[in-house]
Amino acid sequence: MNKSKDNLFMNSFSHIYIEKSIATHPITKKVLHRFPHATRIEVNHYKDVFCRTRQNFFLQKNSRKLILAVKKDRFIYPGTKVCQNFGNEHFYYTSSVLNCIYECDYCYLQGMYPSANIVVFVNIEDFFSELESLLQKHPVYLSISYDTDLLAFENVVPFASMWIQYARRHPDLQIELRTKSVNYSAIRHLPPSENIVLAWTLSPQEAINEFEQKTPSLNARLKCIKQSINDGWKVRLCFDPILYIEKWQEHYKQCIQETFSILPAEKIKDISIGVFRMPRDYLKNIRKNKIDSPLLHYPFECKNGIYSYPEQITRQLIDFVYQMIHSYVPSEKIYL
Amino acid sequence: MTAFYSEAKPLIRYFCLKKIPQFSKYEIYSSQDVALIISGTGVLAAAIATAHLLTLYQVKSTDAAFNIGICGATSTDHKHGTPVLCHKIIHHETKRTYYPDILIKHHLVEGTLETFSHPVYKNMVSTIEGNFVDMEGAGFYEAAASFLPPHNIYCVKIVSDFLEEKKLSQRMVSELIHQNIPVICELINNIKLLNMNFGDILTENDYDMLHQISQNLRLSVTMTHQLKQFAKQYKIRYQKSLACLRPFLNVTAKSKSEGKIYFEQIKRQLVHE
Repeated sequence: MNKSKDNLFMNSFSHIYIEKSIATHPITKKVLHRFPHATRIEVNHYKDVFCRTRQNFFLQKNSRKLILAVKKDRFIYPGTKVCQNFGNEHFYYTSSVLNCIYECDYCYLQGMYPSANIVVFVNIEDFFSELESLLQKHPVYLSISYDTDLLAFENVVPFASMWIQYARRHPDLQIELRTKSVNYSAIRHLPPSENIVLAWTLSPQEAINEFEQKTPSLNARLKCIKQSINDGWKVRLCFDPILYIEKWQEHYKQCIQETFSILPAEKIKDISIGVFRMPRDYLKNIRKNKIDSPLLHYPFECKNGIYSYPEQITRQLIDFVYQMIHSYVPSEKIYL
Repeated sequence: MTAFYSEAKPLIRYFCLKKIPQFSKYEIYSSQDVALIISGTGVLAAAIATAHLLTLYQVKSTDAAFNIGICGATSTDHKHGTPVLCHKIIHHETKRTYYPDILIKHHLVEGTLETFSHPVYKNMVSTIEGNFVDMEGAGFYEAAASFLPPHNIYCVKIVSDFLEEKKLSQRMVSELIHQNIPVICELINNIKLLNMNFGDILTENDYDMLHQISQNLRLSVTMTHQLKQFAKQYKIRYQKSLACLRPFLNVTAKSKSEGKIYFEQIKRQLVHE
């Protein structure tokens, strides 16, 4: 393009779509106050915008819009097989926000959702009440930041803080807040709690440069994690997805060495390792429109509806990263 | 798409469009990369004309459709002659709503358009939800949405009245559109830029070559589909042309099983270079 992207596209959140029924909800008001110059458009239902046919996720990423909506049912979902449950029997996840402000090439959301626009379900109180009923039946392990990055989005909607405050009042609830952001300062005022795990995804700097657009550097993430550990938070590290990139051994070795040169290994709660994997239909959807990603056009193999690297490569990646991490952390703290 | 000739006239002149002979009742004008249809008044006419034009020209997802015309404004916040880009279009009768994607910067006012099946006057203001009213927008959008993505469908309306009961002359309508041609053209040019990088990685020549290889090797439909996928992946991953496949243009398989052997050779070449 002759014209630079910045000149062509509107800023993100230039438009905010608001469901009629939540126009006066306190979270709606807070978001609108944060973006006073955004064009406001009233909608009947968020799907009227979010689920339109033929949307181009990759074009929309250049000018994401915000959609404020109400979720009417199914607030908490059972965890899926492709996600690590860290030994927890009652594993669930929830999505109070759909989509993420980061633009990672390998992200499954690009194939899962029809739109790159970000939906915020403002009725967070209804998520809490459904969880309340579930907690009366059994303890719950809940991932709250799978289909988004709540901490990165905290300055728009303070859901991470609200979840943390909720979890502090419910000892039978374990929550995982997964992130790539360095926005720890947004929750630093809250006292750490035993039943809350802050989980950071880490990648080699080369992979961040190439495939994790708009995310903070490895070094910035590590400094942020160190601060949270010093403040007393339980921290999980996620080397996931491991990517089969050029000189991958060199890059992952360097990444792991840097990680443990900054972080005290004994203070890490646990570590998860996983190679790139994506449901078949999601990858198919992504490949239709994304023609500039050699990473996603790798000839993956499909096993039980999930695309990943061939078995031999997967084994090499896992073994190498596992051995590297194992030299710092005992095996019982490493989840595959 | 425009509803009237008076709306189309300044566009026909600006884009140097020539009338094309038609068997349908619609007047169509075109140049190499622009085509314009005059629908006549009303939602249904707009929908039929839009669908007809987009079918006739076999639009691709990287083409864009515009409804350019005049509209009434429900308030005097925006003056006569203001160009409006509609970010929400309501069909008054059915209450169906449409939301074009506004991704690119522009110099138009944005607003909600409400499409009626009849003329709208000041005494009806209490029944109007939109900021602007017309008689075609919703029909145009619904038809265009069957062919194109929401970032390639645009309703551009010029404020011509404030719901008074007076009739505008054809000359005045043309003048309103003419005055706004610079702002409309800027929008069109930016939309062209928006669509530039989203074509198919395989060229027409690539498809011709793959088709020829598929026939020569007696490949099944599934294998032909796989061949195209491997070729796409090869071009994306290695940033190279498909020159490595040219030797296979001279190969003919005598049986399906022989074709499979060649197919495996091609696969190895494209996957592992």
